[in-house]
Amino acid sequence: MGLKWYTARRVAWAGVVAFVILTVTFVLLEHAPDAQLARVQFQAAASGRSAEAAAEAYARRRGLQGPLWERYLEYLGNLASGDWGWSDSRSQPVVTAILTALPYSLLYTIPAVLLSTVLGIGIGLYSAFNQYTKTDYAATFVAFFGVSIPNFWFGIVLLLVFAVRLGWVPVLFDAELARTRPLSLANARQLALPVFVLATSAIASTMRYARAEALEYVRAAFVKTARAKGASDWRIITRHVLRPTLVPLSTILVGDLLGVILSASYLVEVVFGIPGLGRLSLDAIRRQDTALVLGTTLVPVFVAVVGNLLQDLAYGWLDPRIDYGDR
Amino acid sequence: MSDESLLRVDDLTVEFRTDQGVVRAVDGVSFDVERGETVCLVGESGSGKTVVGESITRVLREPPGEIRGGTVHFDGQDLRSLSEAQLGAVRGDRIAHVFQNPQDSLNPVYTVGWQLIEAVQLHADVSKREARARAIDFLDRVGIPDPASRVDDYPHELSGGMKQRVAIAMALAGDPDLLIADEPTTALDVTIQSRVLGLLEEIQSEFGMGILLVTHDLGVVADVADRVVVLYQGRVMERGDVYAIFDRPAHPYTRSLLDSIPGRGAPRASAATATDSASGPADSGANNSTLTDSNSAEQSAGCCFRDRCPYAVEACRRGGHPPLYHVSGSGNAATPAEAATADGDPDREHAVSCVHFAPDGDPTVVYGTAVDSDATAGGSYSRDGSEPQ
Ligand code: SF4
Repeated sequence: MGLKWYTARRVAWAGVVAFVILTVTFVLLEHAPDAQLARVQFQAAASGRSAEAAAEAYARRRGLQGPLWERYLEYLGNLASGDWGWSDSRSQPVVTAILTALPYSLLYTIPAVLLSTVLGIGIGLYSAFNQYTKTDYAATFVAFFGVSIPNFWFGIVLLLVFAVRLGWVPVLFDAELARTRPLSLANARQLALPVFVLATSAIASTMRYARAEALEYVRAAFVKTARAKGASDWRIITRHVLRPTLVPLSTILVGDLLGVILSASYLVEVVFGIPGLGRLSLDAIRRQDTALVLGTTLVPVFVAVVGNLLQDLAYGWLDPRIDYGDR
Repeated sequence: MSDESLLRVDDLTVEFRTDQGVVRAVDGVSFDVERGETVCLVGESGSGKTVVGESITRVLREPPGEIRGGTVHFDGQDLRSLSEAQLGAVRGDRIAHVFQNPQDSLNPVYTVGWQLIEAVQLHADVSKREARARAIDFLDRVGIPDPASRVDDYPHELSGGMKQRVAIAMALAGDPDLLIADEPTTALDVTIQSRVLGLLEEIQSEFGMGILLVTHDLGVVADVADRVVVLYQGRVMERGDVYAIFDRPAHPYTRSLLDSIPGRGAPRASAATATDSASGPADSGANNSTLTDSNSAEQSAGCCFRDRCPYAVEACRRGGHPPLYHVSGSGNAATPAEAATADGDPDREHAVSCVHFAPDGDPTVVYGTAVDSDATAGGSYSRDGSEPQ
């Protein structure tokens, strides 16, 4: 009962959050300057017609008449029925555009997130158990390197070295290859650099948090008890420290995931030429494709909402002391 | 003779690296524990008693701690020469620990059963089902009601006393020869305390194991000890049979400790000045200890208790800390403890580290008049403490 009620409330709350984000984006886009409109008006004026009339015709064609709230309500209604609108810039439904781009994003984000999570936690725990040793310092250095270095710059440098100089990986991302043979070695090679760039930044933050959290438990009395029982260090790390460490860490993991999808993916996709969600969204913003911008906004919102929900449920599974009844 | 001892600690020295420098938490501590015997390490916080207990199987965190010298022999085996993996086989199997705070000593995210099964399976090659059956049996033996359902509880669902019972059950899982219990009852309220102590005694008579009990609480010592080792600033101040320590305490520090027990007879007027002694249950190990330089072993001058000692004389400020001198039954013919081998193991004799008990010293300075010892015996602390349940 407690858990179901809790989940229901979380989902409802997620809906509210999604609504607020959508509304803000909608209003912001309404007030952004419209380059296309300006061009239509300019052309009309240049050929001696009324710029005013041209603007009106433009608005009618794009369904921009009527008060803002009316259009917004209509949009929400369509959204609920699965019709996310029509992308003018791509001349296809928004849903289709997103579904086409999504797999390309997943191709490199999933390995990057998995890699950074596993390695980040692993290195973090190791560091905590070997605090102030050379390996700990080395791991800390790598972490700060990963956090500090700008993704796009790092990506360009890696491209120059490994693609242009050494020729180990292709310079241009081959979307056709990725679509037809996603599990081929050639595809793995062209994904190696984007995965590496994304993973370095995400590993760093995961590692720092894992280390800090694990340090609390390394000194805990129950770890001493485990040692006194005769448990080996490996067992203590993997069984006794990992699980309580994961509780606060799961929050950070969801945050990391969002960071990757929201910001890192834009830069990485531009640098490596991957036609994923980041590029799609960026192009949509540039070309004032309102429906597509809103559609692509929904994706990270969805990830955030589901991620938070999963994380809350993970809390309860990882730590039996957490009771959903009174939350 | 020392070969027969279950545990023999010799000249143990442990240092801690801190931001302020190197702290010598334990300085040349020696004692032994026999099978079936309870030895109490007594001292206030910072006396190094916890560090001693944790150094034996090296559950001590290293760094910051570091065992600098001495030997630890367990059943004839030199524990200090063992590798971490070899020690892992001794820990929990032959030497078990129970720690002070039951609130933290169980892993909060696993069930009691999981942790007990782990303890069983670490040292016995048994199936999960068998281990679980044993876990339930151990819970039953330490007096947990309805153990078959309690085994699936999480630690936060148990009371403090229950948790300490679980911790004891876990310690018993390997059928140990030696149990090192560090303030096992300090965090518990009084009625639970005596039950847990009673449980330890029961288990001891059942399993015949040796117990090293680390405590600041002389009431606990009076209840369970066979022999007592009094520590102050990482050094042994006095050691001996529990009757000798309680009836004829020789060291000024021991005497002040005994005087500070509430309800213990009339305070001995001569030692009443140092009653602030037995304070603070937590023994963080490195606090309050003397700061020493790591490479000069014996540089602090004189007796380490001299600043708090009402009997301090000029001799107390010279040389190193006084060695342990044998305390004779009559209270005057004192000889160095190391020389008193005639009546058996010198470590089992009543011995004290105080200049007044040196061969050329005069114990009556501490005892007051010679007759005072009889009066002391009259007002001695009751040893027949509350029996369990
Ligand atoms: S040696 Fe001196 S200072 Fe130390 S306990 Fe004895 S009398 Fe006190």
